[in-house]
Amino acid sequence: MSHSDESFLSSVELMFDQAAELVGLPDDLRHKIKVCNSTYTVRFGVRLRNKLFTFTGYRSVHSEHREPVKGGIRYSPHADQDEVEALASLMSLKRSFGY
Amino acid sequence: MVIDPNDWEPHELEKITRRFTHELAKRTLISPAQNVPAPDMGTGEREMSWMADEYKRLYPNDLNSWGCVTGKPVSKGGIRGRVEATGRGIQYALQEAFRHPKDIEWAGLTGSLSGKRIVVQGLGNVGYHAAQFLSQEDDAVIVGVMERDGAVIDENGIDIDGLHKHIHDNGGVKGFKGYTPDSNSVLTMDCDIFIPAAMEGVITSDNADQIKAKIIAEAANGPVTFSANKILRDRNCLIIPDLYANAGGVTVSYFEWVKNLGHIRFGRMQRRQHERQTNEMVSAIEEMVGLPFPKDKLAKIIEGPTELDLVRSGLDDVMREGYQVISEKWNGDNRIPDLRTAAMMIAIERIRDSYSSLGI
Repeated sequence: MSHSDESFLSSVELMFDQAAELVGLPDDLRHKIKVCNSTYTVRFGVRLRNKLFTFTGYRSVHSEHREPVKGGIRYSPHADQDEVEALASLMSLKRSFGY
Repeated sequence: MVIDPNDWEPHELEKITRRFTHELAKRTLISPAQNVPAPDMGTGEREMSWMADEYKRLYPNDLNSWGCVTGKPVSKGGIRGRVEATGRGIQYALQEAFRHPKDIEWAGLTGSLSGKRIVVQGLGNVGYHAAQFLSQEDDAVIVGVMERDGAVIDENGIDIDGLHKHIHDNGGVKGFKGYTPDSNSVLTMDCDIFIPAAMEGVITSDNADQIKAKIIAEAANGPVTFSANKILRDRNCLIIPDLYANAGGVTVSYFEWVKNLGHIRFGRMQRRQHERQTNEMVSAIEEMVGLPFPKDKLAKIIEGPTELDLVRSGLDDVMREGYQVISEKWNGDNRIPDLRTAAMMIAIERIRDSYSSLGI
């Protein structure tokens, strides 16, 4: 990724801000909708190959405006909290379409 | 989860996935009523069935435990049409875009998907299905495929099934007809539609002005950075945004969840009844006009819908309606610069409305 460009999460947030501006949301409500409601980090040990390995997982919920909340399980060496929150934000916006 | 699945054997991945499910379940981060995961990069049907099985072990009395996760194999409570759903959704999104000539002309294109030249980045589950459907059913031509170890170029159209098998057997695209180690040459090659189906942040301000595609259908989440989005929009590149374009996966996941709660396959109750009633109708028509019903049409007309037919119909409806709403918003207000902003505005308005109905 280019170093001069925005990260995944800030790209999503900047795109969100641009849209929220046009919707005419007041700043306080815009901030509330923009942030993820919760992000849990779980760290757990699994004994494999005669050794205890610690794994880190995240589960982030952007909003519960429609339940159940939905979102993917990604297995990636590059996963981090920002990536999970960006994906959660997109998922929650996505769920405003359809069914 | 921070893990490279290639580092582990299947039985080790199973142990890790089951433990992960346990940790999530303890905190209600997986539950059929509140929180339903699905596959993403690095996971698929196998991982989802481990998760569902582990959840079922933990809550054997929960009648809806199959609904704790979606993207399961059909043999474990999954739904037909889920595996290809995101790729299918990309196809439906592009079909609907081409039913909006004004949008297509804005991007400098005309006509239908037939003959349009497409480049796909990433031939994983989503990219493969999108490329396969668009070339087989819409007569689009896949002229370039980018992968980790290089790219494949063929102006006459790449054999997607053949390439997919080649990647499966050889671990990459190397050695396939039209192979080049320089994958960037495909990113910047002349084409009508570019489908990024790999990962986030691949189109940046460094390469955006070299991309010649007139339409970008975002199969991946966040493939275009904020800065690159501006550059592309300014030269009339129509970006069909991720939050709409790749919603096919979550849409069919929702159908799967509803199926799990209903404990019955879609179409089970109606299918034969539909066939019987249509047969009656056909014989009434034959009696009235005194001619036999055209044989070549009969089978198709009588056939009742299967689960797969219904899933496709539901997905197509969601994708069509989604595009229509977004396009109408974009075209109806000249302050709105692109489809992405229009889609985000609609989503934000719907979330705002759900807040305000709660009095927040």
